[in-house]
Amino acid sequence: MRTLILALLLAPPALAALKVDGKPKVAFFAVGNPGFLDIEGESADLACADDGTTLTCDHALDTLDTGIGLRDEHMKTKFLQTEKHPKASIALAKASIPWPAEVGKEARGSVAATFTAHGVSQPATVNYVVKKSKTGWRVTAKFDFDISKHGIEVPSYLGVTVESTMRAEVSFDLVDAP
Amino acid sequence: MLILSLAWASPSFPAVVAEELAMPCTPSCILCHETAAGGTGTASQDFAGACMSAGMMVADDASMAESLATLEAEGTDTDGDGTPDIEELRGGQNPNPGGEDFCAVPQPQYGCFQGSAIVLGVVAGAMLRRRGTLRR
Amino acid sequence: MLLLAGQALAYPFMIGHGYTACAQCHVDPSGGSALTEYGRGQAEIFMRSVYRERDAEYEPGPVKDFALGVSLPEWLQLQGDVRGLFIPQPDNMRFILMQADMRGHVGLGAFRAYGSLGYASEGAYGARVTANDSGGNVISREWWLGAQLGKRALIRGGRMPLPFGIRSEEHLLYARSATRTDTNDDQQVGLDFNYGSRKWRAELMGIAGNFSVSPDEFRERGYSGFAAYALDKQLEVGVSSLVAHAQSDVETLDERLRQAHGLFGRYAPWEPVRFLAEANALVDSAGGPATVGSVGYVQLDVEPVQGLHFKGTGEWCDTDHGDDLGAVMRGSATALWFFAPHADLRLDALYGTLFCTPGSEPFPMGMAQVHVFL
Repeated sequence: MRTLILALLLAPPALAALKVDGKPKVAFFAVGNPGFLDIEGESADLACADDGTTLTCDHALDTLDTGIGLRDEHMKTKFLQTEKHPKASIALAKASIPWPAEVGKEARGSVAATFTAHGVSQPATVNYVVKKSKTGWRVTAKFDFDISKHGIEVPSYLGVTVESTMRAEVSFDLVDAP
Repeated sequence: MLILSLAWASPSFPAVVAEELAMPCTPSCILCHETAAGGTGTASQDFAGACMSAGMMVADDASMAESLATLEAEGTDTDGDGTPDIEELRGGQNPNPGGEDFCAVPQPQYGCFQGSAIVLGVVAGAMLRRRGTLRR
Repeated sequence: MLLLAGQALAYPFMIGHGYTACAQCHVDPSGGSALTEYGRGQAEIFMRSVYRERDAEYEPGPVKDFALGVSLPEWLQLQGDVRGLFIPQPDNMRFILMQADMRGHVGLGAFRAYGSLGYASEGAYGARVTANDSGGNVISREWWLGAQLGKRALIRGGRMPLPFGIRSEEHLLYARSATRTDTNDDQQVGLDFNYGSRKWRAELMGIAGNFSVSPDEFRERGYSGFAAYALDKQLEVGVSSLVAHAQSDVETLDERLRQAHGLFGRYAPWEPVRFLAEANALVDSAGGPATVGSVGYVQLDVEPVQGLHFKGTGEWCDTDHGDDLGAVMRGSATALWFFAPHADLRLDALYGTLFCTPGSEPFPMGMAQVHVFL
């Protein structure tokens, strides 16, 4: 197995620098056939930074856990090649998100982003929900990507082949960086 | 090895009875049990009691056959109708009081070739007759 | 008059490893059939005991393959199963050859074919090919032809297990015998549609009858099906429904319309701890007014070390809530040990009745099974 990851967004109205707060949740989903083998990788690693105009979130691929050690080993060494490409990242324009200012209010929509994995960048469409909290923003987002377009070999193991299109989902809190 | 005592069902008994007595059909489980579904602890028919008295043991085909021989030698007549149990069974009848005769109603037959046996027999018979005709 | 003679295996406790579906590991998408290559690999990786530490790059190797080392082409799956049952009796140890089956599956493009052929020294009435009442018989539990409809659906015609409840290796469960949905010899001929996705799995079968039984008046017609949804990788819930009619029932010899409708669930709160539960209503019209009963079980499966399972099962069955007989109950304790590649040993201690026969007296039972597959 395979793959990657994500992360996301934001940019407050004042365009202050942002950072991830608390424990983020990063997950990817893949399906193997025949048999609809359901593969889910999880991680709590996500770091976001912004330069005032672009918000970039990085995920360390070595932290992904599918629940099966052998599968993780295959994914990281054979397919993701994490020694050579340790991170996956997604970048988007902060201003493309309408940041709610009132606590409890939320904004949702889709935004164009750039997803980089295995050293290859591809456009991605991110569906997001941003909700204003007392301390910052609660962000949930997801997007689909095709590993074959990132130069990642499509995994096949013991007769089961993984679909090249996968889904990434992330949820985390963003706060102003000091 | 296990140490628990065990009682067990005797699914082969109907076939043993049918074979030992050359019955015209295989009797259903109601020969000994309350219902045709059988089941441990439900062997409450009078004939089951007669067999057990004659030495039949659960899940022991040999003991079943021996108990039939004993019943025949003793002329046991469970329902008291004047016809011994073994004679009734040989005629496809039920030796229990008020019991419906076994072979009066169709019984399920098992095995894919069961239903086609007649067809195969007819085909085989026709082939043999044809060979005989050709030889002549 | 059913009984004892092997079964196709399915291990629903695999939900503890995050496998809610069966189709990755079995050629029958609902489980209980020959293993796929992936299933053979998982059996080595997850199911059997390991006696020395494996490194992270452990691969199952050729030992997983057919006959412990024969690599078959991708389009062919073969599997041989032998299972023996030992039952202690007052004067001796009774042995029953429960299963001696050879199974084969061919997949060419979208088309698939599957079949099994074996021998049973006794029992397995409903799967008999030959008709030897006083000895062993050639049996065929399953055979079907099928076509994939895209990645998610399979349509099949042939003889298959009835899709109902939790398909498992638990051969004696009341829930299986009372609904006649066991994988031993309760298969029937019919047309079947199977669907699977990441969260859903469902199957519906139109029943044309068991053609190992004759004459035709003893064959059932109707449907059987289930739908299950995985709320999480470790939690699945489902519903089942079955309606079958026979002009003459093989047990009661009367016209019979039998129905079963119920719920089931599997939950693994922690990888080595799994709960399985099933509850079904039984509606039966056999030569008289309809009766309503129920059948079900709860099972806890704990795997303290890989390959060694301890199970506790509580069951009930009442064929008629309206009579005075009440329900039969059964409790069982099981040790199941996948002690070597392709081999397992099972010990059961039970207290209750063997079948769903309300009014019967409970009694203790014990048995040991050895299973080897190639």
